[in-house]
Amino acid sequence: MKSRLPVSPHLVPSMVRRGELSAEEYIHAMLDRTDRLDSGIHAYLQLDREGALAKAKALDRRARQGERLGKLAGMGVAVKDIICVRSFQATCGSKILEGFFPPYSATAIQRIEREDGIVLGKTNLDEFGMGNTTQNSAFGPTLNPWDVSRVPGGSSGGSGAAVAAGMASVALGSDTGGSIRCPASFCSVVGLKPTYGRVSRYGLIPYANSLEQIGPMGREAESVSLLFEAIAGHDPEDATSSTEPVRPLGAGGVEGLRVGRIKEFFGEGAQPKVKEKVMDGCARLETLGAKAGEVSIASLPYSLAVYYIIAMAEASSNLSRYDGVRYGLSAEKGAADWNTAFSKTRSEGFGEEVKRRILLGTFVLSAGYYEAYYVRAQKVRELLTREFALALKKFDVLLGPTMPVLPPRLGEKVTPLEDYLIDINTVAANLTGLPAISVPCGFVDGLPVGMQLIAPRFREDVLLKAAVAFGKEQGMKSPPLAEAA
Amino acid sequence: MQAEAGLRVKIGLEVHCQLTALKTKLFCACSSDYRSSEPNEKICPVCFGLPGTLPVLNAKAVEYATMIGLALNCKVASRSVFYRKNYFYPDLPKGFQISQYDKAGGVAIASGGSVEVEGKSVRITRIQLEEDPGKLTYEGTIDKSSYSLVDYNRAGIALVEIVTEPDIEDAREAKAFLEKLRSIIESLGVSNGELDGAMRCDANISLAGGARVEVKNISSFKEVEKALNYEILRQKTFSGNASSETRHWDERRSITIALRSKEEEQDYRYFPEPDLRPIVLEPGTIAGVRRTMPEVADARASRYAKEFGLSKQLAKELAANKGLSAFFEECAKLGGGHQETAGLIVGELSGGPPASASALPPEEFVALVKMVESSAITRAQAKEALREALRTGRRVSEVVKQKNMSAVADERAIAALIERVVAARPGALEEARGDKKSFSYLVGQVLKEEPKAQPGVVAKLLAKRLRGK
Amino acid sequence: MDARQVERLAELSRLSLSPKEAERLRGELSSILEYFAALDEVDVSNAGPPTEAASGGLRDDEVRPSAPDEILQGVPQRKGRYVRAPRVF
Repeated sequence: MKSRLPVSPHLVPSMVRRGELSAEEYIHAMLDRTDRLDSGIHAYLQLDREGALAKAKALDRRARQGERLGKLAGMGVAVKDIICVRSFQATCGSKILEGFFPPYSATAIQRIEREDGIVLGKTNLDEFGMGNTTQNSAFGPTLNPWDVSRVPGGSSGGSGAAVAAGMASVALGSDTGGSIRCPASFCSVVGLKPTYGRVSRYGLIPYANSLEQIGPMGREAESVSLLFEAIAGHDPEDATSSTEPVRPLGAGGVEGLRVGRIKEFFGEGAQPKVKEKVMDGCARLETLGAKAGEVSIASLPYSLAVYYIIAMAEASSNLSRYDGVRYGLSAEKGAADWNTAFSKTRSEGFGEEVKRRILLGTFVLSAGYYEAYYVRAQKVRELLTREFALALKKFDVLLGPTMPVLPPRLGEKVTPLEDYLIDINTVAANLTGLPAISVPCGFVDGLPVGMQLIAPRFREDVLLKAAVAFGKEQGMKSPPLAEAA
Repeated sequence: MQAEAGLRVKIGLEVHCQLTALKTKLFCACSSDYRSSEPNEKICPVCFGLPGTLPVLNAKAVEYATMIGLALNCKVASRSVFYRKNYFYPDLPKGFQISQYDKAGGVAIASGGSVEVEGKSVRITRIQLEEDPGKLTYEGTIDKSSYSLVDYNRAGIALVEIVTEPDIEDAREAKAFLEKLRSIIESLGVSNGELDGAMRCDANISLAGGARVEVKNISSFKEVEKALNYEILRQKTFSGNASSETRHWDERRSITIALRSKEEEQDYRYFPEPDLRPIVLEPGTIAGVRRTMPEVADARASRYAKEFGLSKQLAKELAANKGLSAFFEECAKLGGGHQETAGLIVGELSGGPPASASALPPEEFVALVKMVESSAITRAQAKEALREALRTGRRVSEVVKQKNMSAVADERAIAALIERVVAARPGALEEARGDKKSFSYLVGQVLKEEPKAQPGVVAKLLAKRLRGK
Repeated sequence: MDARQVERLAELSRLSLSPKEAERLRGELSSILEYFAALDEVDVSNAGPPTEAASGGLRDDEVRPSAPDEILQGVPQRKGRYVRAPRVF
């Protein structure tokens, strides 16, 4: 039996509130669908069927009793397994956190639950957020629902695939250098990286603290907006979170929106057909009332090096706590001395990419190299930030392809550096702290292309409004394998 | 233990002081009162280093660190940052310590101050806020145990690290410095230095311009003197240059031992802590702290000298005792000569101020002072009356009356007395003319004859007598 | 980057590498660092001090209860309420 789902997840809360839709039936259908599809996609690492159904049932009861329900009532939420949810393990896609059940939920999760969103399960990811294909997971890759011989992107690949295939209404991912936007682009969904400090990082297991944010993903911009509004806002548990008030979305589309195409994003590094598709997307924005022009950001070619130096440095420090003493994998239980014990646990528990980044991060912070690498990178970051601020005086949003390529094949042999290079379009938003969104922009040879918009700090409203208008115009497709379910 | 002539010893100290007056830890809301707790009871996800948790700075810790900076005459930074000090150790839950750093662009919360110790100024290089690690112990002895035991109750406790320039010259001076530092910090009310482990220090010692040796793990002030004396002796008897190294004070055997070479190659990879915002202190805020913070003994002494005209020495002695100072200020409100009042207080009440106001109300005390000043009684008589009053609990005015105390100020009587004394001592006058000591001796001889004589009047008349002949 | 540097980094990060692993990493790290070297050509003289992060993010000195026993449940090795760790000299 086909599990019927409302086409528009963002309508679920109002329908559940009015009793027009049973949350239990909706979640049940979603879980059935997941049962059928996920063995072929592997988006989920953990799924809590009983818990989700029980919560859905309780919601229906409250609706019947006329109680006020939250803004996410009945929506099934998939959560990247780098975000702590009480009663679930938090693996971070790694062996080193084996057996770790956080005794608390991230602030973003607490807010989702307060709005009656239902956490379905934890999704697959590149280990500790390090990667852009989800192949760096210690638990096997996630496959792209549009073409299961290809990657779904990363590091939030599981979340991207889950929402693309209708196995969740919306999902949470995290984005350090493109980890929400890349899978959004490769899976043809909407993914938003909020302004740095917009969403609390409390409960987000860190890869790079000064760069990352938790963010919403979904098939439609409307549901991404709902989720964003639920999780955004100051949190006293996160000293880096901002007290800037969250702007309401407001009405309207892209009339009069000044769009600046970033020249460097349309250069030789990007595949011609991808560029073409995104230029089309830009043209379509113009037909909706936007005004497009071009802008150059001189320091962009250096952004990748700057990103990796800073991210790896912070990561090398953030990952020092995994020594097997207080939680997680503890490899050497014998009488070894602590250095041997620590090294054994860490070497067995961390994957290759993580080790690579720890070593490099340690290097760029080490005595004699700190000034030449880390300090210098921060200075170039400052230059980049100023250049973007200048560009955003002339334009309301900046535009380019989210990824310079189509989703690569699984198992493609590339060097680590070649892999890093495809982040070239996404890292700048993390370095500058600016909000950025990826919206589906069409297909090339059946494979998804994403268009990226970048706005000034705390102007997610501009991005979401543009995404809604563009999405209406674009229409929505389901991956073939999901249609059959 | 004196340094040999020509062999200059330079000692710098790094003192770690817990802000025990805080209710919570530095970066989390766990109770800081851990000393009577079971192991791993005062812990939370943040101080235990669970993944995904974030530090949030205790505002009161900033206030207390500012107070310490001001009390040590430092410049308090308008903007300072936290840094990560990265190293591995089982008692360090995050694999790094959040601290402050003064190189590579780092600024600590206060710097450039000084502390007066035994008439000498010891410069304070910097003061920084940082978190304490947990505590590592062993079952039985360290050699026999195949594992270690860790208690994280102390992890995250707020520490202030106070670093001095190498201005200290011997172990005894170091101990005096530490005691002075402790008394200052205690008088601020930010820490109880007597609590176990509340104040610890490391020392840097170099001899005659040789290499600097760091001595760690000195657990108490008592141990400081021992450790420093040992290390100074060790370096002196070392033939050849002592190498720059880190040594560990072994309390049980009372020796310093070289740590394994691995420790020396520590590269802490300092970088700014990305999870915390900078500490920003406006001049107004700092001024506010200065206004409301408890007065430290040195500052009070300066104030007494300025406001009440007390001599430096007397001001210092009085200011060192909080209780006596309070009593003095009560008396000072009622008039009378402040120097006289202070002198009597310090001289006679050093056992502590009167236990209750009824025993010796400030009015009575001041009345007594006024009697001395008007020459109604001598100072010696006043002291006697005070002692009697404190001993018996009677009012001092009653004692004066009952004992019929009155000074002999009659000039004719005293002049006659002087003649008698001088006549009995041929040559004494001549001596007294040329020499202050001999003059005082003569005055003393007159007072011996008649204890009720006003010393001031005796001196005046004797001086006149000397001029006359 | 040479083999000794890789060994030193591994030591600093508490990672034990097999000789094969260390050699492979040496090559990878070298080429990545070469890519990073592009930053050397950037003129950072105008970079100025970093954008001043606003102050704030402090909390009051008030105790909040926690659940220490729940935390201890996740500890791999314990002795009573102590966390059992490898020995340190």
